Amino acid sequence: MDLGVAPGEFVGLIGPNGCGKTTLLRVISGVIRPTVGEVLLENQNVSRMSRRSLGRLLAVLLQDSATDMAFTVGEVAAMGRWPHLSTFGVETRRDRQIVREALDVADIAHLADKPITAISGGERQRAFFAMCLAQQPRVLLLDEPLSHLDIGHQLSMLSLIRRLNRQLGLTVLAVFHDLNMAAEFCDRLAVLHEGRLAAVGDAADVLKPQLLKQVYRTTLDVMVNPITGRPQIVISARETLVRHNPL
Amino acid sequence: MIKPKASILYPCLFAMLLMSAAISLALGPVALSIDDLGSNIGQLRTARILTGMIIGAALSVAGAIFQALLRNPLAEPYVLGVSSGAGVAAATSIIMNIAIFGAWTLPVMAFVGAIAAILLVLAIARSAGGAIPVQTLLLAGVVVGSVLGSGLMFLVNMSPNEKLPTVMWWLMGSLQLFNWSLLQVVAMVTLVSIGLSWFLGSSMNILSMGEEPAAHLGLNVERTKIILLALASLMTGCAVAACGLIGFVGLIVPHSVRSVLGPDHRRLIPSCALCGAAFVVLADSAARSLFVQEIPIGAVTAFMGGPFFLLLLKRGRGARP
Repeated sequence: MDLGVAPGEFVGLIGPNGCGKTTLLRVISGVIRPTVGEVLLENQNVSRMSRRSLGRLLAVLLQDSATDMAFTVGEVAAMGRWPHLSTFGVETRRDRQIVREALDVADIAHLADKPITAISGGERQRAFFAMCLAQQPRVLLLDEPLSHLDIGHQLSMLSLIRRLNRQLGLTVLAVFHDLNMAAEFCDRLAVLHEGRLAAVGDAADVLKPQLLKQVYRTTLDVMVNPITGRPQIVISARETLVRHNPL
Repeated sequence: MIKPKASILYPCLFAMLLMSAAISLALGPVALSIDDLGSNIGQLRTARILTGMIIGAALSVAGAIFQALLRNPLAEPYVLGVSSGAGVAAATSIIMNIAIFGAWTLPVMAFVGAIAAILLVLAIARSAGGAIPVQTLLLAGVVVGSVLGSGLMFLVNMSPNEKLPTVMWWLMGSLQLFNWSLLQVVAMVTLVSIGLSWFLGSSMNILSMGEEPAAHLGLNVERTKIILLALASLMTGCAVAACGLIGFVGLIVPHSVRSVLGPDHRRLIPSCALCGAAFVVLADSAARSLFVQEIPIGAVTAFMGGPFFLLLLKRGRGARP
């Protein structure tokens, strides 16, 4: 596999269940050491970087970050400053300012004093997003960031990520299950199939019925969204539905 | 949840500790006034109070560490088999009349048993790559604890009648430790370990969010786990060596403090140390003065702590929407 992501680019990673999307993210974030090959982050080999310097460069938003500990939303966001703090872990006024801004940007500042165990899944996801922002990363990895959100929150989350990507030059690599969302928001899409890269490129070039059939083992049609001009997956193949449902 | 400033919180907790010490000094079969401090009874009680403070702080901080490390609310200092390991070693030394270290034999044997048990658990749980998955660690701890526990039952069963009270007394815990140098060693280890745990407070905060998020935030997860495990085991081993098995403290003190002050370990660790110290001192004064005959402190900690803990649990539930 050879995948390059340019600085300031927004790349979507798609593929069926079990194709290795999450594993790829874990290799990139240095949690799993690759047996062959290497991951370069700003020309540095991730395996040789310290966790701390990696934490200053790269933030990861997982699809489900749950804990029993009743930290407040503000405390969770402040944890994002951890890789930047001195050994004694004392937050400066500047750190607190950055955390406040992160809470504002993630639109969760009004819940800053609420325990994360007492808020909804969507709010919790935004709290963890605020933590990632407080990390001030140059690269953001997202593992199915939309999985617990309703469509309204999905769109506002993606618009926010898109805005940060455009305004701050944040490089984003995100795993998606929703192909339409991916097509709508990403600069490029990378399709993963059985641990290999099946295709990379513009959504219009990648989302072809033939490739989708090969990768997802189902018949899908692709149309063009009349408003945005981006490709849209439509479900039309009734025989697929019938085949999977004997009734 | 309340979030008082550190400049208010710690003096308050410290005052609470001093008050519990004063109560404990005054209570007992023989009433004591300020003038009697220099007397024999005064000195004995002071030793007991100091022992109680050290043991209470050690067990509570160790419990807080285990709960953060294993991310399990049921975790407590004895969860990885430390208690059974120490118990087997202590019972063996009592029954077989082992006296290789003189007055230090029982504490040294108990400490070695405790540390051996935890090393065994670690060796079982450690995967090929050197990482320690906490779920495996927890399961290995519970199983090793049960196996050693049955060994302990066997030893208790086999022990001759004249030894049985000593074994039982040790198993139920007691602050009756009249060995100043042992207390000094235990105090030193405990204070240094608490200091280091306090220093690792923000790492524990991050770790309690899960290991992968912690790694993403820049924490060297496996190294931190080993250090925390070592600190908590050392403190538990020392506590067990000095005073036998005093249960419940390491479970309920961290939970109680957390439910009042929140989970931030940078204040949870020192607060647990102070509250745990006060709690054990109070429990010991109750153990000495409730009945004519002294009752084991382990029974008192559970009896006093349980209802209080349930009250906090209920209140915490009610506060959540």
